[in-house]
Amino acid sequence: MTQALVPAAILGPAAAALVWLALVRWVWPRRLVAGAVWIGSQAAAWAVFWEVFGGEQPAWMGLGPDLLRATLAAAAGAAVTLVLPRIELLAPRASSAGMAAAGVGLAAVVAAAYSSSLVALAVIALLPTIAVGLAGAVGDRPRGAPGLLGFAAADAAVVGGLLIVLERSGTTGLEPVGSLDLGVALVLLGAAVKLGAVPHVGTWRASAGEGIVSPLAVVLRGQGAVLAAVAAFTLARVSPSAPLAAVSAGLAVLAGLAGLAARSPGGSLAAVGGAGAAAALVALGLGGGVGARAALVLLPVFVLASGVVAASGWPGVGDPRDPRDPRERRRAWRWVAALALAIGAASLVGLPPAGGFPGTWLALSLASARAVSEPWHLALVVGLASGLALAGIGAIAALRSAGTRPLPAALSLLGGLALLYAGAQPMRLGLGWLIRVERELGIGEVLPSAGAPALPAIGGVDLAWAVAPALLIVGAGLVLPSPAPPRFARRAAGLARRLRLGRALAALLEGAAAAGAAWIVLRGVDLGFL
Amino acid sequence: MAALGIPLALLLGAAADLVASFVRSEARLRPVLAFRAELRRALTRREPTSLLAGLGAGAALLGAGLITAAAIGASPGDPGLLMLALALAVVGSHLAASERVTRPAAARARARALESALVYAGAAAGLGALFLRWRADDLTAVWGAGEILGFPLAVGPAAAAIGQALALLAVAAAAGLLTPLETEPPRGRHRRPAAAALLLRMGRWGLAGALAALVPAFAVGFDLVEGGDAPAFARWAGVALVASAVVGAIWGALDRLGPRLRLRASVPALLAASAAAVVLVSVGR
Repeated sequence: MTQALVPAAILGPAAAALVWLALVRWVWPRRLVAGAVWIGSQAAAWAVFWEVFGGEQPAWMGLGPDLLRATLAAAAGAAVTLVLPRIELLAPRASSAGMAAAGVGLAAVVAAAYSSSLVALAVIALLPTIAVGLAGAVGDRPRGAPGLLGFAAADAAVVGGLLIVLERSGTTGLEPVGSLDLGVALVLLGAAVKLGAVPHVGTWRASAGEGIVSPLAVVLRGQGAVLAAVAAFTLARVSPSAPLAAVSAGLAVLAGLAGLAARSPGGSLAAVGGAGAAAALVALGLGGGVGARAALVLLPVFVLASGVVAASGWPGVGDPRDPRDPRERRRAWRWVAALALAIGAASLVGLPPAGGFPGTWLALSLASARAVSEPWHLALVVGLASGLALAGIGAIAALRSAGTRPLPAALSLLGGLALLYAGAQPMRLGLGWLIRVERELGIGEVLPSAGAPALPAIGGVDLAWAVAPALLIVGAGLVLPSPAPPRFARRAAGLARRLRLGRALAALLEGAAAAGAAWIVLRGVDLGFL
Repeated sequence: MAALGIPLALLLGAAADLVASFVRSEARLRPVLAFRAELRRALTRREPTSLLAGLGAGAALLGAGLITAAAIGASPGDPGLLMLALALAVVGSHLAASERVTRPAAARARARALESALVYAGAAAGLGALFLRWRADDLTAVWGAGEILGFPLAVGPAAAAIGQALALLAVAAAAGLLTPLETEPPRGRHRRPAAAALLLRMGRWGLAGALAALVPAFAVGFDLVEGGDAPAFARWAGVALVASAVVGAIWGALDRLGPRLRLRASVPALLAASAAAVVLVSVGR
């Protein structure tokens, strides 16, 4: 049974795509059968992850993952699963090509993640681009063209980099080279394009479009994350690289500016993804035990958040329901999708308490700590933080373009809730996993006595205390003036009217602002000041 | 204790708004009266507010609360958290202000977004300079250094002291520049619902108050949660109120300038001050 997990995880997505194409004429049979095969493949990917987490080494024909790459493959699968309903709801021709590309592309991503051979990785690395490019050619309009030239350059960089590593190391396996040399740098460059960190090139351009390629960009981001992990963790052993960190911070600033200048929702959200990818690359550039930990926390969350954003998405070519239509604006599911989109975008730019927050915080803390002895790191901190904030401001207009379909909205909200949990509970969620991955990759242990920044000590309870007053205020603001409040609120309002509590409530709310002052006075008394 | 951040930020922000109103030569207590009117309208009229406006106000309040809680020692106070919380507050304020925006207002909102982005960069650089001044990567370390060396500006080389003063001024000015988002509801069908206006006002107060709370954290330092002596508490409260007044004065003065002058004069001045603060603090280490 265990032996079948790896082939099921690798071949399952492509098999689901084949089943989908074979049954393309029959709507519900294709959805049910292909969906079942797809879910089975994802269950196998998670089972492989669980086996590896438990210390086993499942393998098939030389393909077997380490824990980090098993996690990234599972996260990429989850992200692609989130966007599948959206692809299915597009125009039939586009969706056929899209489903096929999603299946083949994800199969290649999983295979690349499970590969331990440089040659196999170089060959597999090309497949997602080819699949997505073909889907774009079949189902897209010129406006949403995927920018194949950028992808070709990225693939050339990856293959060239892997060949250089092969030549220099003299071995065909993924053995550490120990430093960020030319070969590793080329692989990282290709990974940056695939992650969507380079403005208006490759995945950035694909994800900014309105055609079928924009949701499919999630596959490429998953591939980018796998390639970045291979280059920085397995080959370079997270050696610090000031140029990589500086260039990545510059990319974050460019992403922020592009987000502010964007005129379409897709453009804004591509910039948000670019800023998030740049944050992960900054963490890799900072390197060392803490930088590696920040990148480890960031990469899986980045892939999942990309899926949430693409699933709750923006108006696409071929989608009969355009969220910009005034009739569509009134649909309740739009608000669910908007909420999920907001959480996904906040995760990508690292805002609390969303999923990208712990990793971004750790990266900024590390750079700040290094700025004490090397002040140029301050420019890194300010650049990265500003880029993320700019991209966040730029994404505001895009939040109103969320889709109105129930299934994508519900799935993306589910992904959004997972991101919130990851953001609020970084210690409980991932500490055991982090230690296992760090030991497996041979990353130096971060000792508390060294004074290095650790994972954020803030936990769910602390955040709950911080969030509670905001929730109370905003909840009252949303529920009380609602034309159709929930039944309990109507009853409460009626009771309040009968008891003439309106004025008392107003006075209470006005007095809430004075609570802080009262506390300060009490504290003063406690200190013996008054 | 982290729950105290939001009430404290709102209190300091309301004080800053009162001073700003005085500088703008408005009717006495106008911010408080407007707050009361909006609250009454929100409770008596059925004007629904969008989820996104509420989400924005909530984000602004949470960001402000995290900064203020860090400033009084109730939550971690390292630059990474402060900058991300400030980003959350700024993005949240813009999201809350984006409710029912008319076409001309949308153009103004775009200009404001650029302005806020530049001001955010200036504020982040100012914050970084303040941490660099004390060679610390955490507010607790700043307070520890302050306890040993003393907090007055005159400690250390003159360049570092000037840099610190500039950075404190930059943070206060950033609060004044970040807060004046459009809160007056447009007329007619684009009029902003009362609850949205109320939430936006509170988000604005929170943002101003949070940045005002950071000034005493660096100028005199006081860990309100862990305890401290009475004179230290008095210094902290006094500096917090003075910082609120400065924020309010800058806020009011900037409101009297035209939007063009704000973008062309105030923002470059803030960025220059922050950059100068970083250079001076680095040189004077």
